[in-house]
Amino acid sequence: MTDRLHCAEARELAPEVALGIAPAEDRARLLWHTGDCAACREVLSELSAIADDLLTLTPEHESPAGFETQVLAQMGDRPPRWRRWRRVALLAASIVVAALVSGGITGRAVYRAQAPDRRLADSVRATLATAHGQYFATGPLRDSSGAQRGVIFGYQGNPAWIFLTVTDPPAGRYSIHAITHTGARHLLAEDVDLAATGSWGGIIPVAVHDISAVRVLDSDGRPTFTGRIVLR
Amino acid sequence: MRTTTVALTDESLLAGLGSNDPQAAAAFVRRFQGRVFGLAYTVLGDRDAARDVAQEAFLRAWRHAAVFDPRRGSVAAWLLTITRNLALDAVRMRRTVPVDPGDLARLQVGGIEPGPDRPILTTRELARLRQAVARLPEEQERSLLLAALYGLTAREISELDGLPLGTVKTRIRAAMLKLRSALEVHDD
Repeated sequence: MTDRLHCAEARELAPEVALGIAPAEDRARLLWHTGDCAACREVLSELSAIADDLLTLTPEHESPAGFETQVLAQMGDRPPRWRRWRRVALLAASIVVAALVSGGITGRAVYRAQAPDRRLADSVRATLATAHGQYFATGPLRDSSGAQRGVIFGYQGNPAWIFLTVTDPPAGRYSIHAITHTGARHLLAEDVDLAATGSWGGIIPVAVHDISAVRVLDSDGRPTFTGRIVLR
Repeated sequence: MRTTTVALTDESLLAGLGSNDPQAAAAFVRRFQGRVFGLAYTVLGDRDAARDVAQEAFLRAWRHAAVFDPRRGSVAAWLLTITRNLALDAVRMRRTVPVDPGDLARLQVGGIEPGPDRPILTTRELARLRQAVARLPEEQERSLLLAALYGLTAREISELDGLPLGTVKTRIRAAMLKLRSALEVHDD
């Protein structure tokens, strides 16, 4: 993957990453570093908060006449549909998961069906987007050599969740982590036997679009697989 | 009605918005519309485009209220980040440079007035941030705000201002570290 950063170099990159203007490679290298370095993660978190707060310094402007009414009318038009759609979205999402799991509760077969899975996921994503703007997205899950070994799916809803499949992982127990764009790491699951199941899914504590990477670590804490959900 | 909603925290109003409480939704829009529209207008410099962006920002907030995480920042910062990203998307679609960067000076006189519905600490912190921005050397402030508000990369700023890339990067880094330092000192 990318070479490791030292803290001094990480601190140099942090301001541009916090502002959201860093080149992708720099951002990836810094986030990789902050996954293991609490001090630099804290610096990045503070700078990100400052970057966000800078937006609140912009001057207020009186909004156009009727603005409030127009916004509320659009919301008022949608709640019943939204509530219906939430059920439909969750149903659709569970269908995807069920299809994945039943196709391969045996795990390994799941990933062999990758192309149909992706088409199905794309279909669901498009449907969700049409309905109320929530989304369903996918991305490759790669090993440390960069070879694709599986697929990761993300559903942005309430709740938001991810589901990943992997083919022929080494035997062992794995932990699964979500790394956010600010470098925060969220432990999603521990002691997962991917070799037996070939997949894992669960609710995530952050939005899908806030996740920079999902990492699968082996029992020694070494990154084995990394997934990035592609938002289009 | 207003007497009950005006005293609610931003987080409470957002929760109400997300659960389709019409009073909370109205109060939420009323509380933030000036800032949301103001930011959109600051970036776009066009009232019609700013109105569209601001409306979409509120709709996004409504749809995604459930995923707001107060540990990661304030409701205002979250909502304004949504607004900025939408405004930048709109700028990119038009393929134009946003407003005259000279207008950035307005930032120093803009901002949020304290009020009963705004946490004192937040107001104080933001005032401190505004003061810290105002104390930055002009060239650092400009590079910082072009990046923060308009999403310009260091390379884009260097081309816009005819400066070496390294100079712009140094200015942005110095500005951010000064702001962090200014906020840290007062937090103790």
